Amino acid sequence: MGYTTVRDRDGAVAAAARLAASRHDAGGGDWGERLPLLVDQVMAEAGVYEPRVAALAMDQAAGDVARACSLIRAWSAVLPRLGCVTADAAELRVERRITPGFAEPAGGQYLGASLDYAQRLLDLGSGGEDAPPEVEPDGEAPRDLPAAFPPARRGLDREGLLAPPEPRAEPVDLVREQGDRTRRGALLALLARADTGAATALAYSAVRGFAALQDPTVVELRSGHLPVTVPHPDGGQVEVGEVPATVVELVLYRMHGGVPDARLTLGVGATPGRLERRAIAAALLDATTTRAAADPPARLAPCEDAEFLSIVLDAQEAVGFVEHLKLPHHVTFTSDLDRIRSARR
Amino acid sequence: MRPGLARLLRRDGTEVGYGWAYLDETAKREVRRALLKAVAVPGHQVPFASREMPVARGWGSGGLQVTLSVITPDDVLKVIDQGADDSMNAAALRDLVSRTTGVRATTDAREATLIQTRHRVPEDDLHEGQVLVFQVPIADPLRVVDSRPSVTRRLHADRDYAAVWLYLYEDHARTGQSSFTHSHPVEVERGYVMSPTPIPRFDLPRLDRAPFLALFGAGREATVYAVPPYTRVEPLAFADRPFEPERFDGPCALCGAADTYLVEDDSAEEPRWVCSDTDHCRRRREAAR
Repeated sequence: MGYTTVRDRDGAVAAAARLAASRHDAGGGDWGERLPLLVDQVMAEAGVYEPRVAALAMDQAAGDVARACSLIRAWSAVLPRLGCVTADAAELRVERRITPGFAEPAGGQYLGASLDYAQRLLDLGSGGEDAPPEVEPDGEAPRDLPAAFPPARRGLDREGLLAPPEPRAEPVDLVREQGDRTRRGALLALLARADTGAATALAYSAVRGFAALQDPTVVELRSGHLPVTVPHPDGGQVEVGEVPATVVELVLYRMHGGVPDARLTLGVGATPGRLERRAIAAALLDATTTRAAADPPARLAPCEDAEFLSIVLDAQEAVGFVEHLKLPHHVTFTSDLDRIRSARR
Repeated sequence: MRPGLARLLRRDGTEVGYGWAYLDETAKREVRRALLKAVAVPGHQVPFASREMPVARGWGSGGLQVTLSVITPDDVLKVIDQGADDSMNAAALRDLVSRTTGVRATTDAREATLIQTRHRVPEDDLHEGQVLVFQVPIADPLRVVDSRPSVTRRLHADRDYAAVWLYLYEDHARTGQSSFTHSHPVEVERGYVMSPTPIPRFDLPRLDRAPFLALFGAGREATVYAVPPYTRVEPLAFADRPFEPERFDGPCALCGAADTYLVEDDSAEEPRWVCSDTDHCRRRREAAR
């Protein structure tokens, strides 16, 4: 559904929410179809795009996202690796595009399916049957989206307001490559499959003031499907499918201290699926770590510390170790007690 | 999670399952008590037990609690975001307030008695009796020098603003200008230093000795504060380094106003600058016709 701007003209709020609701069957059917964002979260945190397997894993994990991801990762770890390709975010087939930093961007804004502005009122009735009436914004029929949008940051680039991407991100396959996870490419990959809650909390700490004061502005959020192409054995490229993805570009204005050149730091974040806060948190943490690397503060805040982030962001590592405290520890505990008793003597 | 949920509040203005103005009366009274204290001690941050609201925290939940606590059946409501009445979140907030109270809504800032706003002060000259409710993301102006409320509360209590003055001094010493963009801290009636919410610097002079009551609500941070009418509001600045509002190269491309806050419009062939206060701009164009 097309809109030239993110404004509530003739019921855009209701139309966007309705479109979002139409994506899932609220009444019956498979729970995976009713809860597409939960399936998205499992696929993103597992790092494997396969909705059927994600739903299956959630069933077998009694709804525990971390355990479901563990099941999927263990399953996928023993599958043969047939290829490794990169997809260009510029080729995203856009179904939703908003530009919070710009009111009237070139190419326009398209709200798409969104519950963002729908009021959060719990319906204690049976639900589903009393959705808002069908609306056609502006009295126009739904329009197709343009095939491509000019990047919203183009004007900033042209004016020289963006710091050059430094360090440049090189793609890393974290699953199969051993190595430094603090490099930008590795951190971006880690962020794409990071624990949603942990990434959101650390990104929140950056805007909550636990870093040199920064003012982030999302310049563009696009969500849609990313085509995946592989080299054909007979030459050329062939598209083998597409994965749903959300890509966010954000700029950071460092308000105080240090560097005299007044340029914005670009942060980029992406996630499989449509859980948009994942991509926003990733972009924010990419920007804070990039900014801190370019001009290191006297003391790094957690959200600026790539090494710290590379350790805590993966849910499997964190959940595994926190929950291992349930295991018997009486041998080590005896050793602890030996020391404390000896000290008291 | 479904849009159908909103039917709990019927579109004819009557409500099912929620009280008038959504909040329960105890919650409203608590917010009003905090607001009374805030008005009595201008610029002072007053804590309150912020409720979970039917909008996400950070999306206007504080401003909404203030609005719903002070609104009366005779009020005329205006809600804006970035200066625009038809901005998505403003429309959703206005819809919630209208449907739970039945009060009349308007886009004309001159006739509104209660204006909830995010990021702007309307361009019109507001008058006595009007109430402006600001949605506040970061309540504490000292957040820039320390992110721990336990520290900044003490600094405010001591009126110890050395750190924020030093911050401003370092800015000038290093780069020759202040680095505050929006949220430039202000001193209220020569007392507390206050964050004027992320309104642009352009809007700050219009808070100074203004005839309206300004109420600030931070839901996520569970804080309210206020500036009563005719109270001095002065942006922090050194005598020889004056405060600088945003400047624009030309007038609004739509209405020709040269004294309004402009935002960039890239939707046409050539980029142009237009008023952020869309209703003020519309009225100017209609008057010129």
